Amino acid sequence: MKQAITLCFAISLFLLSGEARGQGTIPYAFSLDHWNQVIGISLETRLPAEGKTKLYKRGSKIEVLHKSYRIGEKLFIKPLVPFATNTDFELYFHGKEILTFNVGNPSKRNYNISHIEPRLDTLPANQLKFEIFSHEVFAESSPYPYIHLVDQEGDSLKGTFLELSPPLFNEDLKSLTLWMDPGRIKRGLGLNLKFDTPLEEGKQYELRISKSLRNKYGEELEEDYVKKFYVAAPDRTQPVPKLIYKRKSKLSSITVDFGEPMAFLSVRNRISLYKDGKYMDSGFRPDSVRRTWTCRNSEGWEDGNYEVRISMEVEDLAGNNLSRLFDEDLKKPGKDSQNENIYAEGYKSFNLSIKNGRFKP
Amino acid sequence: MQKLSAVLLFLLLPLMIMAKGDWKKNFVKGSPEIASMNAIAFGPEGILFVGDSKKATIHAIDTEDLKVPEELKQVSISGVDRMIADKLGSEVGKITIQDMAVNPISKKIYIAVHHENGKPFLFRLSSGEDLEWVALDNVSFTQKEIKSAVGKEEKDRRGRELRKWAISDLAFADGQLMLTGLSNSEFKSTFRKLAFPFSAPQNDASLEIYHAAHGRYETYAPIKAFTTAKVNGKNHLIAGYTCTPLVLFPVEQLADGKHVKGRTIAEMGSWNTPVDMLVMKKGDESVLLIANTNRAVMKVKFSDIESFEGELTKPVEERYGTEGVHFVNTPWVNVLHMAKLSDDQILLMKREANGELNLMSRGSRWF
Repeated sequence: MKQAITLCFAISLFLLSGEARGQGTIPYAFSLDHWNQVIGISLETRLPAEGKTKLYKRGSKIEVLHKSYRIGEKLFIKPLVPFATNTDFELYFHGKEILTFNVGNPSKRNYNISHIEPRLDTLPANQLKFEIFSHEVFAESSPYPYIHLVDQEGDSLKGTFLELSPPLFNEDLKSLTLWMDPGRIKRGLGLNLKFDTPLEEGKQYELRISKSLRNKYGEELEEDYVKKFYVAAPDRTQPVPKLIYKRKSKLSSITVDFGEPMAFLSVRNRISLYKDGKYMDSGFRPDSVRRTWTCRNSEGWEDGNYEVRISMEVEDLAGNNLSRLFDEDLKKPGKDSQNENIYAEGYKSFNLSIKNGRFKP
Repeated sequence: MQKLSAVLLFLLLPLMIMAKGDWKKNFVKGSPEIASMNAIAFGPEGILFVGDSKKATIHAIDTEDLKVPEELKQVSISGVDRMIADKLGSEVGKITIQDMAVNPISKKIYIAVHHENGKPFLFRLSSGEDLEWVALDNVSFTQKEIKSAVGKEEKDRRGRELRKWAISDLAFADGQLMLTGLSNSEFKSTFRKLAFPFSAPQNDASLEIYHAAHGRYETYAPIKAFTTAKVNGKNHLIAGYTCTPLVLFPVEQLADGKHVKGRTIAEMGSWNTPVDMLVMKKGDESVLLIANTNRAVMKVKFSDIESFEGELTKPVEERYGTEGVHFVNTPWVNVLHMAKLSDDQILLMKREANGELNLMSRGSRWF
């Protein structure tokens, strides 16, 4: 019966296909979905048209749920969900084993941490958040067992991160926001009084991501990721944005300078440009330290009245936004917050006009 | 007038009894097209209610599982997640067990599962029997969309999507379906009552509690697990929230359009979420059992709940500290789901130290 199986090719019912090894040297074809997961196999056979197929993971007595059907001399086997990767399966027809196969892991990809925000190597002692980025989709399970803050003595520090359930992944699950425990950062709170801030000025730390932090396909990172940084004095001032116009003939750009590095995800998509009251799809791009955010228009700017709006929620590295400090001593006379920055609209606005291709405040 | 009422009642009584028993009158055959299974619970006559947060819909499925077992066997099943993964030809790390319920008639265990590709699956099993997939493409069912559920785009202050909490828990009692979850209104935490068979409009009340671990009044967090029971002779909703306040709401106050402030009777420790809540009898005494994500199963005597007259209105200062009604921790840790197997037995889905996910029953002598 096994000899009846011959090499077959990709089937058009599926999106993509490939070949893999079967038992001994007997090949078969498998079919992939958009995410390179194996969603079915096909084999050419002279088996009788009628017959029940049974499918098992090797070593298990539980029959795998699947559909099987024939088109001509091809037998198609399709489980309800993609086949497990790197797992041996056994296929039976009328009670006889006809094929063992292992689909390998065709979806395996270059899964790594691409970078961590902030990119700076010196951070304030009241640093509030880290943003961890990958090109792949993280598994939705808890990442916290795989992320550690290590001091310069090599000790892993406990209770430093706010372990949220569910974790704070962004929409496409390709970035994770990691909060330092605010209870340890805000002065005067119980945790702060008991344990002090997690980061100490003048010391060096490592944020270590273990390779065991898996992606949605259950794959490990190719290697551990380590971000080293030094700790400077705490940041107890609010960002104060200024608008900078660069004039170069008629080619110009608009830059918002916050005067200090900003938290990347808090600013992204929160600076917008309006022309004559209408929203423009502009796109302000940050510099490498996220202090300045620039909108360029290589084709020149049309004459008109422009407005740059900056959300009051944009934050610096310590979580200070345009309307308040993250950690403020409310009993202190003459509070630190720049309360004049509180705008009813929820954004700070800069207006400028362009005439003959040149900016005018 | 009184005589007339008595005569009318006498004439209508058989009709009322028949109507009450006719639970499946609106059911149709086909596929309910379930998008997610966030919570499941049994109603009468083998009807399984499935809370589908993605579609903000309650599906009522006729399981046709009505055979009463000759005897109630001890449940001891090892490696449930591995069995489910094997049944799907997948891996344990790619499935999530969403909820578990026991059919009160057949005593079969129903398990709702999500695969990482987004597909929901329903399985059932019992001691000595193979794991069985409950296909839902040709079943008798009815369904009802939940009005004013939290929107698909809504997020919390930390940016997490809220839609999965549109239906956080559900239970069938006194001829109606009760749901907790989030609405799209300003006061998000909501308790809903639906008449069953589905007919009348839903009945929504918004909820407010004092959260002692957070030291403030809150309206935005959903109830994560609840049950209903009589407390001092009156029906109450007993609700558990993340972090972990235990709150009482008088059911009679949970009327449509009302905003109801609950009475927080215990703070059971932060960094924890209750996952299931049961009321069980132990001799003459009732106990409340609470399974948790980061704590052992807790036991609270009803006599302690009834004698606790005050409410918590001040913050719990100590991290992970507790206040309020006395409770004890049972030796059952890492219990992912818990259900009532019979009047005197509970069913635990428990992760053991060796990593195995096991199902086990425990009689009342254990609690």
